[in-house]
Amino acid sequence: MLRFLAWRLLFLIPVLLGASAVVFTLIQLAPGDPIDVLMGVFASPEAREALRAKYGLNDPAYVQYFRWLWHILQGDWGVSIQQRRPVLPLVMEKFWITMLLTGAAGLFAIVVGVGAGVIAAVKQNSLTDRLILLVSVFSLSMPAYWLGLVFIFLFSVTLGWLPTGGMRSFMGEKSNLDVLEHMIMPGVVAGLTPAAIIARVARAAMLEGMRLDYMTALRAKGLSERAVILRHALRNALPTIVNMTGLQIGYLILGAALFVEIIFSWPGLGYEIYKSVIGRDMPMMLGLVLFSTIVFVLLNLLVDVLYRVINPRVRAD
Amino acid sequence: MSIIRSVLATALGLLAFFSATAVLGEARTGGTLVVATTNDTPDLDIQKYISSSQHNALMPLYNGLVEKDWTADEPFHPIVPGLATSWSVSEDGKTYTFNLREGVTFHDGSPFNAEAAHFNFQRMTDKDSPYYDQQAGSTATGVLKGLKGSRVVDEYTFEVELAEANVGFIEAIASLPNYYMISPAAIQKFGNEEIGQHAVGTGPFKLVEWVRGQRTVMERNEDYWGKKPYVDRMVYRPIIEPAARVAALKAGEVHIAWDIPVDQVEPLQGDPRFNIFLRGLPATKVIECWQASGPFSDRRVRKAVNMAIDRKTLAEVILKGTAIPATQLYGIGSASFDPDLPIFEEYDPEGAKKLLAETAHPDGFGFFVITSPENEPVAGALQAYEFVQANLQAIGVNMEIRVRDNAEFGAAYMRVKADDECVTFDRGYDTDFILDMGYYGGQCVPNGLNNQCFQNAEVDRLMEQAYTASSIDEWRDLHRQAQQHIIDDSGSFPLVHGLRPMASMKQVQDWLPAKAWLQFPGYAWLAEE
Repeated sequence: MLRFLAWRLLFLIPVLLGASAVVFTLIQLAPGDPIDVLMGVFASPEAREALRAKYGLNDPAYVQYFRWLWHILQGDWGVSIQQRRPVLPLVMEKFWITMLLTGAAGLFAIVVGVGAGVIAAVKQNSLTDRLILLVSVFSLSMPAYWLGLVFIFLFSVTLGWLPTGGMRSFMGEKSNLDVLEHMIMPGVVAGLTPAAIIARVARAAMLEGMRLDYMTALRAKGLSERAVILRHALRNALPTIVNMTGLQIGYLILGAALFVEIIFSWPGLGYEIYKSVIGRDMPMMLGLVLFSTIVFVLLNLLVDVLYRVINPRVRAD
Repeated sequence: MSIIRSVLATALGLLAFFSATAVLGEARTGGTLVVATTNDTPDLDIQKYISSSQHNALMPLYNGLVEKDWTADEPFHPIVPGLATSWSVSEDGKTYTFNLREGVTFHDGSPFNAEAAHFNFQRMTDKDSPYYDQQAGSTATGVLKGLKGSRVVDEYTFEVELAEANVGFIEAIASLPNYYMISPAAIQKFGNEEIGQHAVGTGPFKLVEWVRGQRTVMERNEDYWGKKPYVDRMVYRPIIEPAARVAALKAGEVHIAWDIPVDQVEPLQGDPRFNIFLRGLPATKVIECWQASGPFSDRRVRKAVNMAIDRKTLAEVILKGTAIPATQLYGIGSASFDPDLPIFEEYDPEGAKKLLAETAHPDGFGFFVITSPENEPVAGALQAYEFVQANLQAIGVNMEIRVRDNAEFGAAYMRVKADDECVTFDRGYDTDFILDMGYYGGQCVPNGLNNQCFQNAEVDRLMEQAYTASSIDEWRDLHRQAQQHIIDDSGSFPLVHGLRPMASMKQVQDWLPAKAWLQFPGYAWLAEE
């Protein structure tokens, strides 16, 4: 197990190098520069040059990249050009806010996804199965930002049940569950796509397991249908489900969060990524991507470890 | 029947009148006013930036020596005393003397006086000062090129020196909050970078909490030297997505929402819970094309394009009355806006075709525009450009629309362009400096802001004459004359003057949006629900 962990952590290095190089190149290719965005059209050419020099933006791109890399290796994440504050604390602060949303969305995705998948498998080809298929295909194909707006219109504007966005309310009585109330809609919207994917995977894995002969043997032994499904079929489908869930949660942090956070004004990593792309804030952008990549890879590692724990066949080798 | 109707109408009218006066009778103190704004500021240093989103976010916390009354219901917002009670200018027009308001303190308790004002101007102009800030300096001197330095005369008298006379100086520092005053004690305590995390001004509100992108919570400054706000607290909630902004208003989470999208204006107008305002913006939606070479260097081509644009339909149908057809370069709310001017160019597609036939492009030509929606809060920008695209198609001119983000738009604006390259945006600021910035021949990009490289000797002459004008009125008059030459020369393609739809809950009293990029809702009050 230790060797496995060490090997995987070593593998993290080329992944991080690759991700940061891609982001760096993409931002370099995009027209526009951070100093123009920061100073507007009125600043004199000399003032622009001076500020560019201060951030080392006049050096060739590869020099800038390797300088950034050299600093990162020493633990220096740089300073945001737009906010003039060290990148790492800014990213950390936003990370926890995003994790809150990701946690809610992940919980929703796991509970609903696994639940729906199991039910669909047990009631294979029934109306319920078809309905679950319909809903999951719908959730998969609807973009999160569109779904977000529909949810806002339905649950906030028309029904008045939930707040439209943000993390806290400023008017009227504040309940103790204020943040939780604000979390429900973005959590559900962000969690729908992963829930749909998990449901599809769970259904397939369950069906595969339920076809095997030992299921009949268990039933013949007199086990209740409930025990057969939950204790044996689901237990055997778990490795596949866990694997997919890990990937989906990682996707949530970087992917879904971006759109969902902007629609719901959730002040996490997504909002920061948006702002730093718009402002061409390279140190911030690189910091955000590097950090998210680390989290993504570590999360996958955790999943792989979990996979080995729950799947004895893999544990053996 | 008609008698009954008129009696009813009178009764209703009286009822409306009395209920209105009852409401207006006395302003209620207290409560928290929540405003959905369009954007947030990256930090709290008001001197570093020159964009309306930063200035809007910070203006309630700071004051300038002179200011504009953004709450006035007049054709344009008048200049009013701020931290200076009066001011005068020397004969040569190069020295401005300000008599400062006595007994004013910053939010940290330190006094405002000539030393403090001098410290702030040093931060912008004196490269030898330990607190000179490069970004604040380039912002300050970028707009006022002749800003030279400042001097303390006595405790409450302060002088600013210009390299050359500029009758627009007061107008500029009143309109642009990057000349507002920050507590010197706070800058010394936190330093030029860290001050961006602390807002210490003299404004009507004090900062309670700022979470970037999420909220700015402000409370009434009980020691404020001027008119005190009625509400105890004001919260700015930046909501980038326009539809989400309207949703927050409809769900009762915010009292005021800025910049309502075009298709939401009518539904809100029909909803008794809300007030919707169509006031104006001192900017004109315009397409500006490279004129130093290529098709647009020919005046007849420009004229033909202008004739092909149906501004009336654009304003009334496509933009659903949230804009009026462009008549000039200045926008509504600008002191130079002339309400009596006729439409910029009458819609005449047949005439346009004929005129184009005389040029080197009888069968039309193609060009592209770069546009950035985040740059244009005035609702419905893309629909507007698509409509113009169809207009031009009718005379054989192909316009390609390239939607880009703000950074890319900025780069396009500032560069020497290709023959067929154009940009679109809302030209105009809260001060009417637009003409010499965009149309003076000596200001071609990349060294100036004349991004079309428009050239007209008469326009240049009038603008040069305006530099030495003896009063702001004379200056404006010369610029209006210059504008007429630009109009006659088909100098650009102005489309509409946006009315900038804004909305509030009925509970919000005494709030009228400014006809400006800058908004200050801090003097509104909340009626009992």
